[in-house]
Amino acid sequence: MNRVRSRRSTQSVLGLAVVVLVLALLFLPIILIVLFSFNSTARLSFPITGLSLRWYRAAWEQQGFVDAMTNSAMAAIFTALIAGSAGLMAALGAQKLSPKRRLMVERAFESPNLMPPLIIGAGLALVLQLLRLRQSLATIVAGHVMVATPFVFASLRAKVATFDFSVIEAARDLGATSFSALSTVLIPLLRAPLVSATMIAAALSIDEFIVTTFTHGATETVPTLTFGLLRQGVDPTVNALATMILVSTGLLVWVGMASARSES
Amino acid sequence: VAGDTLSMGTSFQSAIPWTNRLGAKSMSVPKLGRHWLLWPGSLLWIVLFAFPLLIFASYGFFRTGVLDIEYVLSVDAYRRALTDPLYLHVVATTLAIATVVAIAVTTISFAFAYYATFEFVRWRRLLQTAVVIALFSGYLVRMYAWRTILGSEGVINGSLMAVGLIKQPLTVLLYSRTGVMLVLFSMLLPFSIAPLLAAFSNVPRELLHAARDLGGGAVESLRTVLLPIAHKGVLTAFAFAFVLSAGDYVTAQLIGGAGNQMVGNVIADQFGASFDWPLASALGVITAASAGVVIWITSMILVRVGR
Repeated sequence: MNRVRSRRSTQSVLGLAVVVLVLALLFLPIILIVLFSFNSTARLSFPITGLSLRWYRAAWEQQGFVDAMTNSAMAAIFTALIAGSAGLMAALGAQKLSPKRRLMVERAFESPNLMPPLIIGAGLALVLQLLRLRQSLATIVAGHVMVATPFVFASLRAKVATFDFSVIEAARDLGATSFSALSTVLIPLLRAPLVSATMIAAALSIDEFIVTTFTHGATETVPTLTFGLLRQGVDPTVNALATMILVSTGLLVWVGMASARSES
Repeated sequence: VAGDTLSMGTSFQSAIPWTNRLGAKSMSVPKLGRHWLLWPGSLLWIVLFAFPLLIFASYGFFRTGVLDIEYVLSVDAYRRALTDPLYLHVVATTLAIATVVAIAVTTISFAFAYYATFEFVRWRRLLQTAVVIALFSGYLVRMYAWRTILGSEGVINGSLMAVGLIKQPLTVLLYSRTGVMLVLFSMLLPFSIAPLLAAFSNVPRELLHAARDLGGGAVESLRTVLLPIAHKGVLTAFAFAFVLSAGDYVTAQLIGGAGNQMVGNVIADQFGASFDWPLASALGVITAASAGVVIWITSMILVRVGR
């Protein structure tokens, strides 16, 4: 018994080490950026000399920042709407297929996740070139939709697969058309996971960088603007911009997950 | 929803029989067709994914002329990609880096998901939330953060010099292959952890403890009990880590510098400074094919080990 217990505690120490290591690698870097964004001097090393909001003021006064923020917000809203509705419809539609075809559709719709964004972006750039389409906010949204829809589809598929469809039957038996059964019974019941998936789609859009570099042309989003700045050398304004991206996306994901949990 | 969001590539099946019932009724709306719900998604998938991918792949069979791309059938791009030692070296380096990173990421992710699911049950939700937040937010920010940390005037060097531990900045950190691998490893952890958390969430905790208490030993019970059940999740975790590190170029650009290019950099460069799209396509297809082989071998190994 003693041996078992000591083995358990060695296990726990090792487990704690792994968990702490992973959390540190994931979050320490971004915590540092948030800290330095409030630093009063331009130095990027410890000790921190004092707190100020000067880099946020610098970010606000940065050429093109307001436009970039507007573009990012617009892209996020359109991406959430398009990816949310297409993903929801596909997740419901797949339920009607035979198990074999359903698996095929699921694999296909989730496959973009397993494609490096570089290749998706390069492909889109070639198509735009081929069709002589100008790069704009619309093409940015197209790229973001391609990144976000598979996530929305996958997370809603899991919910729809366990959904009790007898309530739809009941609604149909009470005289609802298939469309009104969908909109008055099914959508409200799927509201929480839908809101959550849509918020994650918006976060993905705000965060998206690689595909955007191939589709944005002269239209800047906050990440492309940030990248342009950080390539020019050490500029603490980037810390403030990075913190803004981080807070908006992190908050969207967190609220999305929390809202889905509170209803279930 | 954490579990659902996590399940990405591994959504499970259920045999709810509304297929026939509702399917029969929606025949009353023949104008839209039976599968109208799938149309918008399919349209997006074709226009924004399949078609661009097809175009990208087909460029490899055109020829790069002096001034423009010549749209004639040719294997010139593949010939250049497969004979030029420079490109061969870049492809080989990329595959090597991706292999090492993917193995390391999958191993640590496996351990993390295991402990988060079966040992630290009380913290399970919090850890899940943390991983999902890391998965969906801050790609560029994290990358930039690592650059700030590893740089010669960055957090590590600056702080070490400020307290007098070192006089010269450490050069192994930024603009080195070690740095690239460290950063890829950290960036890809959430992509690997997420499918593993989803895969483990269906495994009863008692099953593992029983196997261990029956004298199987911790490692043996992982191999014979957990791995066979979570086989698909482990493969998904490895595939994510491998594909995303083999296809990444931002890490090599920001952390690796000029001397540590990966295939992604060569491909991305063709869409910026140079316009050798056939070469980009050939390199992309060659790397993707190699990735397919590596993932297939991994799946064979996983089946062998897990029984």
